[in-house]
Amino acid sequence: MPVDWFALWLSLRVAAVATLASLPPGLWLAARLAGRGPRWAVAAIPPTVLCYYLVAPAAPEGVLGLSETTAVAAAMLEAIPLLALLGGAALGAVDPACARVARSLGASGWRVFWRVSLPPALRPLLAAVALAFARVLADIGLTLLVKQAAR
Amino acid sequence: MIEARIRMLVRPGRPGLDVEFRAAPGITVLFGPGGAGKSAILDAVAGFIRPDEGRILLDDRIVFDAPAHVSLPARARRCSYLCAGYALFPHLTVRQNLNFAVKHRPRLERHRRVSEALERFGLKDHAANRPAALTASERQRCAVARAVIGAPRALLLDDPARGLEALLRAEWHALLRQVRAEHEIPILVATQSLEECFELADTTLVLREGRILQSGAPRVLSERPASLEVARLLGIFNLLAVEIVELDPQRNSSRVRWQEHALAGPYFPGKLRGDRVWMCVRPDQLRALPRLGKPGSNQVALPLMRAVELPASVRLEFPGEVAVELSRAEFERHKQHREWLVEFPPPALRVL
Repeated sequence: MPVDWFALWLSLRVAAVATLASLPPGLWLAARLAGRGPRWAVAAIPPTVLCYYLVAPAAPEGVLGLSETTAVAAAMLEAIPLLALLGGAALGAVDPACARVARSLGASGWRVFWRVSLPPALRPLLAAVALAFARVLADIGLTLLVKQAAR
Repeated sequence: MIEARIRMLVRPGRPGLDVEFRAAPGITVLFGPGGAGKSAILDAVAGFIRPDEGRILLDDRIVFDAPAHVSLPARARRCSYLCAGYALFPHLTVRQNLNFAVKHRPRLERHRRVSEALERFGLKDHAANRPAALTASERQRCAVARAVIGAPRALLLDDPARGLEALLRAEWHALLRQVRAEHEIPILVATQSLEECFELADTTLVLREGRILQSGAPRVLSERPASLEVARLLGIFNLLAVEIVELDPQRNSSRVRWQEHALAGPYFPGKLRGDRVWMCVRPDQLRALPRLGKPGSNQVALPLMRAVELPASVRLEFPGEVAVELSRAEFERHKQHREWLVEFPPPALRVL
């Protein structure tokens, strides 16, 4: 019997696009959050609830009753807080004195981030990205289910 | 030259600050206990925090002016900042660390400066190493090299020698003296260590609770502390509560009463008879002799409570919080004695 890879392919595609698209806002928030401790409870909102309120009413019809863009948007909403929280912890673990010294040596905020704050935090940041991807991937089915249920 | 007037209001979790000072090329030490505002001053000059009021000039260039709403960002001020642990970038090699500080210069000049700095600070063999692979001594040389390679207008050091062992500390001091000799820039050093203050400072600002209590060469501080607070902060004085019983400006003499003893001193300008004041005298200015006969003039008989071994001498502690420093050889000769005479040489006595 031929296996239909459609579902897996779609999930992977949506999850990958969503994770990548979440990186810039996620990292931006992470940099803002760095060293401040996790005040954000948003990451704790159950995906079912998130999907129900965000996906169910708004989405136009598409493949499987849900356009891929909407699925990505929903997935991003899950990924961003996760990235911000874990990324913030990762960046917060970098010695803050390094950033101060870098600024005093004439580096712009942008350069400080890319050359000083980010590289030492790369491993935990990659772990955060992997985790966000995994969670998004795991919850795509849920997004579809909720959409079906809401119809 | 740094000219600064910095005022910061008291906020929750942050003490206030109200200081005004000039720092000429050379080493200016900010000395004071924790929370005195040393780091806040450095942060304000570096541009990491924004004072509420005031004005900061670096070489006659305004970098901060509250009334005019001028505040240059830290990266435009060209003040190199260094703190404890040195904050070398852990993922970059020594060469890359140095390169970081001269990034805005033309390529050839950058290369020349980095090579020169590697040579001058003895880091040539470690250029390709990351900071984790360096010894503590190489790390501090690398940090200083990185701080001065871009020819900054000022150097701001936030207690980098904190917690260093004696050998490294001596090396650190030598390094700073080398920088002072080679660069005509003001170097501000925040420290809690009096030893460092005497070792390095051309000028010292004594700070407490966000205010400058006294400024001057370290020698001036140890000879003429301006107030009781300064004397207490320096912690090197005997402070005796005395009452002035006689003042004679003509003969430049005075008599004071300390506990039940009468002591002769010099004339104290600005004081009146009957004033209760603090007399301040360093332990090395007093003399201690074993008690063999009756106390002579300005000698007080006291029983020895404790003898503390110092690196090069012995400190004898007597009741009434009087301490006297004695050479070790002299103490060894008389150490069986319990009763001692403490002599207060009149010219050494000062009141606050």
